[in-house]
Amino acid sequence: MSCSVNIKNLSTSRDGVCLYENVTLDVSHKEKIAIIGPNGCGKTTLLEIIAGLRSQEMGTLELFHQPMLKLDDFKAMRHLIGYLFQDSDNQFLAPIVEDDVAFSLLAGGASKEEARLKTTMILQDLGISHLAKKIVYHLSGGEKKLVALAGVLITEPKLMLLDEPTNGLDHAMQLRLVEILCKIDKSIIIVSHHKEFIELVVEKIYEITPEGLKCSLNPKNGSHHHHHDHTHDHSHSHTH
Amino acid sequence: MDQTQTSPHITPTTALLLALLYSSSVALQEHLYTPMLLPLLLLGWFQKESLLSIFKRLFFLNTLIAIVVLSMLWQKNYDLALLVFLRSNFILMFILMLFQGKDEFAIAIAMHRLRLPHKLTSIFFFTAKSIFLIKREFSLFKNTLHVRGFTPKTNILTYKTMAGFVGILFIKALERSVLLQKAMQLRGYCGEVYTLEEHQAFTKQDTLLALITILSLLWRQGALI
Repeated sequence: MSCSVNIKNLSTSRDGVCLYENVTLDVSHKEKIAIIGPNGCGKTTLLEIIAGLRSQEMGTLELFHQPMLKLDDFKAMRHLIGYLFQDSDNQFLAPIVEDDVAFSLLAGGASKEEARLKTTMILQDLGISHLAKKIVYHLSGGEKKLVALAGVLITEPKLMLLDEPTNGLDHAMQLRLVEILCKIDKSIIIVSHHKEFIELVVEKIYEITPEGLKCSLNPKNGSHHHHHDHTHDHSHSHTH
Repeated sequence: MDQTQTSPHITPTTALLLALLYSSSVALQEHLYTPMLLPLLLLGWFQKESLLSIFKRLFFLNTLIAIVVLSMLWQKNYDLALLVFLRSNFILMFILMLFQGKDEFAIAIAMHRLRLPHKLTSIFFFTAKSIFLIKREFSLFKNTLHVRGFTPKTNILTYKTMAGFVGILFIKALERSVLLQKAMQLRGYCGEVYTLEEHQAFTKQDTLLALITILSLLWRQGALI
């Protein structure tokens, strides 16, 4: 099976304290998973390791079957990975909505015509065309989140990493985000505390424990509930 | 309509250009002339609903100017004191009225649209962004102090709290800078902030204000001082 992310025996510590050991995780092509766990257990850290923002201490990480041995290896993969920050304000790199959405495309060398066309389309798809000329910092929390998501989607990444995407969103906006994410046909890893939200979006839920990742199929979005530990050397996925 | 501008509909680009033109001309000319009041009157008319808040801000800014003016009065240099007072107030009034309702991002957008060097534009925008975020942290911390019953006094607890507060702001600023670096890495930033806009649309108010300002600077009649 084609894999977007393949992690084997990954161990990480923070300030000398081990967060987890021997984490093994496979994310298949177009598979949507969630990572949950208590505060400070290293959910965002794991996401940052997958995004190439920090290096792992032990273990191996492959993205699209390419081994990521050092942080430089991620440079070639940047256009394939979309990362949504927990606080959208940290993500914006241009003052106006349409300029920020188009940023990664233009930085990647796309022409202005192409960037303009794609920006218009993505803003339309997300139902936020009316925000195109607004200043990003004048928007509400929900609008900011959608603009940040548009900025991620515009590069058509194969893998999306979403860090607490429902942070600061009201119920209506959460449902809108669920609708958008369910339509997206890409590999998605969501880090969240919001159980109701992730159950509506993902197929598998992984819980971070000191021993590794504990996987369960999402009862609302999978065939049936199933538990097994992913703390061993080989990786696999089961759907019965 | 360009939604980066506020009422009156003066675009940030025009505001920045006219602010530079007017302030440098008024600051560098030997005398002040009556026509220099024309753009102030026009802007005052544009901003008639916000005049009170503009004058309040001008009053506070004048406390600093008062120190300079008083030092000149002390030396019995009355003409120079009046010139400094008028010159500073002309420039401040013009800028305050021009940028009333606009924030730091409007200036960043104006720099962007004026095609100023990328490094300068980027640094200004990221500084504006940092100030905006730190301002938010500041008001959050202030609210926390209020709800926890803190009342500032001249005692060691207040000094310690304030010192801790400044420390927290530094730490938050550092955290934000790390996050900005991560965003830059992830989004392929390479020293340039891009814009999709090809040309800048100017409003009638832009044209009128630009004409009056240029005319007022060229029409050197009726020296005030």
